[in-house]
Amino acid sequence: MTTAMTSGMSGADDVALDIRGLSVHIPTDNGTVTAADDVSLTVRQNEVLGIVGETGSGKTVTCRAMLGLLPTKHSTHEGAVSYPAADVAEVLGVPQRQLRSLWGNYVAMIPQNPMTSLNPIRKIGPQIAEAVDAHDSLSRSARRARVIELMTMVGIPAPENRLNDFPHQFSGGMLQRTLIAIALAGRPKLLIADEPTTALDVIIQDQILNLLLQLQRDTGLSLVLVSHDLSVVAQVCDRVAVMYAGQVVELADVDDVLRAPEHPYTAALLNSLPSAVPRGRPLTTIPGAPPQLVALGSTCRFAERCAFAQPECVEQDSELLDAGKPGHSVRCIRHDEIQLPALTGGTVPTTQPPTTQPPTFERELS
Amino acid sequence: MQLLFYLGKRIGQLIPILVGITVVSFVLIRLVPGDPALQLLGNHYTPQAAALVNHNLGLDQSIPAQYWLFLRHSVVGNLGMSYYYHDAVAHEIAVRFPATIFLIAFAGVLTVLIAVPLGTISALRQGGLVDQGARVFFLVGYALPGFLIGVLLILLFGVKIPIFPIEGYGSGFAGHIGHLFLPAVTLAIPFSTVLVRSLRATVIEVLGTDYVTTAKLKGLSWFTVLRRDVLPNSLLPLIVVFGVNLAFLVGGTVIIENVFSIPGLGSLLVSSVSTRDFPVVQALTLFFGVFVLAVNLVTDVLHVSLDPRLTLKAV
Amino acid sequence: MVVASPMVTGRSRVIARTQVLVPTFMRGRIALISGTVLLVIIAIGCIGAPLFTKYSPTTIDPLNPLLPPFAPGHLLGTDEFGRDLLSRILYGGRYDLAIAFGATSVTMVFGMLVGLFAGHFGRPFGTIAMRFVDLVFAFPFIVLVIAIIAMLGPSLLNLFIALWVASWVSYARISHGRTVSANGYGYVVAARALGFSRLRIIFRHTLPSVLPACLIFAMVDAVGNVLLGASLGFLGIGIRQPTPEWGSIIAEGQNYILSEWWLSILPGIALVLLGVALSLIGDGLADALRPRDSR
Repeated sequence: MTTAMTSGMSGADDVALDIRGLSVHIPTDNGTVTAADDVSLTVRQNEVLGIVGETGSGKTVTCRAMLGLLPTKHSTHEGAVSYPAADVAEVLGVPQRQLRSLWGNYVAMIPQNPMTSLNPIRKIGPQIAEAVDAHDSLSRSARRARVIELMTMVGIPAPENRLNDFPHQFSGGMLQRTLIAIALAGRPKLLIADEPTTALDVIIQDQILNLLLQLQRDTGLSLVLVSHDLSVVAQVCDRVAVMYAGQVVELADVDDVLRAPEHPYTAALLNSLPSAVPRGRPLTTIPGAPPQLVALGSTCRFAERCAFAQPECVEQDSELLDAGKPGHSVRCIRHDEIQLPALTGGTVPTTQPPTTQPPTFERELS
Repeated sequence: MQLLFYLGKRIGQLIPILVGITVVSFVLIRLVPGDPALQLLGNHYTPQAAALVNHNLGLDQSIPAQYWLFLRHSVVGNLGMSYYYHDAVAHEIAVRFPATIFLIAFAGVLTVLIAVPLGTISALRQGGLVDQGARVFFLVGYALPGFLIGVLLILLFGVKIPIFPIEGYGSGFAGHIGHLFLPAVTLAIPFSTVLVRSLRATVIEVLGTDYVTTAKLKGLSWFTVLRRDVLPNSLLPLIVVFGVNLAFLVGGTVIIENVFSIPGLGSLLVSSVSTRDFPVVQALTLFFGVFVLAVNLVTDVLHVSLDPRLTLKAV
Repeated sequence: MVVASPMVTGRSRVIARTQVLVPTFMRGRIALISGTVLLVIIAIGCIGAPLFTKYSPTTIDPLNPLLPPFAPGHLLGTDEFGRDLLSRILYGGRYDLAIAFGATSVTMVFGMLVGLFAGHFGRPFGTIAMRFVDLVFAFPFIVLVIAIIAMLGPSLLNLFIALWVASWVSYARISHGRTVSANGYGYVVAARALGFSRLRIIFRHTLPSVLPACLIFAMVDAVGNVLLGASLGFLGIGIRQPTPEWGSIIAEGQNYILSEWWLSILPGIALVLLGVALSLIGDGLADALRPRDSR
């Protein structure tokens, strides 16, 4: 919504990250879980892509795949993840030492839980410094200056006093800022933020989101923002992928998703948002629970919770279909037939769009 | 400074246990059926002599008075007289302690040298050759009695291929190392099984932590991540495991010293059992108890001083 | 046993790292079954010793000393006094089995009860009991056992007494820890709120979460007790001669280790087999009783 969107037409050079037909299977005692099923996504340069879904919808496993952290010891997968702009054709199944030049340099991650994402027995300063060292060879004083610069950039007050602190002396918000500083150390082109604010206090959440957005605008990097919170994504992203039970069920520009959702699940999500539903209209909940990701068929996975389901929904295969507008696809065979209640209120996001709100760097309570 | 404070606090906490140890040692010798004077005098037993002995040992006083006497004597290092050596028990212990502490330290070092690589590699390559080997090693190594390992090592490296001396303590540092190598290996094998298992589990846990992922995604080499993140965080809890199980190692020396005829406290204990030299047994029980307590204190303080999360909280 | 091989399943490109041929959930069961089978074989051999050998373990035959294994009439040969080694191992194993079960079961039940009650009653009983546990823990186990035997005199009963005194504390610690955490579980809190009697809560609600840990540890502990019993026999301060016990048979054979090595090695193998059987059962139990994480 903020940056100019080049919906649809774009050359390969423009693509920062490309996921093609990614499926991830994890064998468990109860059968093989398909945590991600035929996920295809692209992230363009200078774009913010949001991925929304409930817990267990496959967001985190998709993130790990993007970073080349798959397969793990137990998982198997299909599909491909490439970084066309970095001339990296495949990151899945590649020995991790071959990805070292990609990590930090081209792609970096902001983790879900800042409290557990720093080595608890090492000081903050060296943990940032080694990220700097992985990309630049600097003198001692230059490295220190760079660390302090990074810490300032992410809004850690009085950074020179905090270099020798241990992670447990930092608040959650400060830890997340530290992790963003680490992610930025190698001047990456793409940041993958897997629910970066979930573990934080509400006030801090906004600060961190604003920080991420400001950095994205200032440095022109691409950002993948994963969240279970559609209002966060609505506030921040250019495009949105909605995931359900391991599949992408709707992929479109954020305005299209918010104003004219094509998938009943997306619509249901919107109608369960307190901030998106006009005052006085009751919030709706989605009945039932997401299915177990074991041995699911190729038909619609949302059908049994869907208010619009018809017999053909559990008979015909559901595929990602063109929804009519460029760059808008939806996994619902009846998307043309059903009339989804549009959001009448129009004031979708709660908070102001970040453009009008300068990033705040107040010291958080620790 | 903070650590000194912590040390003082911990010692304060240990005092009740220390008192308990003296009570147990005191009670122990009173389990012996029969008259101590008779034990001591044997054929020279006369009622007069017995009365004199009882008076000298303080046995004609009340039990609390006797305990108080025992405690006062213990604190100043007077652990009584040996029936058998006719020498101060404290002196016997002092003479034999170096061999035992050398053996324990040597075995401890060997244990770490065996356990750290084995535990780390079997965690890094789960299901690999080393891991499978370590599994069998654990199963058999734990079920192998120390004395049998000792006998086998004597047979192999002392007799068939005589590269190591198989008896005694040797002289000088090099001599000690040579003489105590086989006993130390004998002790290290069962002890390291415990540490390998614990370290393997910890390394696997640490490998799955978020901070290791963070470090990897910085673009650092795997070896760097291993050295800076995985190993320090895995070895820290190992210190605690080591300290808790140290009594196991100390107990092992009692048996192994006898297998290899090392003139240490363990062989003193066993020979004193055979000669019914009760004051020595009592004193050794007290000594070993205090020793284990002291080493636990050291590992505790070490752990706290190495873990920044605890260093600050401890005070 | 285990082969690292890429596994191919499903659709197009599937990559799997090293796959162990025995899946994890089976591994525990295999350990449990093989350990139990091994233990049963050892137990049958030792308890039913008269069925397998016609010799008494203590009858001296001066004409046939130091016969090698497979000598006519003596499957495993004879020792320096011409006593049949098979008989000595089979009869001697009875003591080792007795130590494994007699010593361990008593300490397990007692220690577990102390931990349960200490965890439930707190101050002052619980605190005092657990301080006492700390105290016993301060001594090296072997030293304490030897000291008690030294004072009481060496005999099987005194060995049992020493093991009982020295090793119940581990169970008390395990069970106390579990009890304290179980006290925070919803169902125990609920049972208290419903006004159930203490005993009912302890045995119906807490015990089930305490017992598995104690049982698993009991197998490890049984190995330790057997080894200690054998070690004391080896040192000549356990069960008195001429009662054959594996440790003392090994000690006797040590003099002949260069020529008649089997005199020490065969009882040693018996000892290791018993230890491995108990360890396998412990491992298998740990796997079987570990709560499954439900996905």
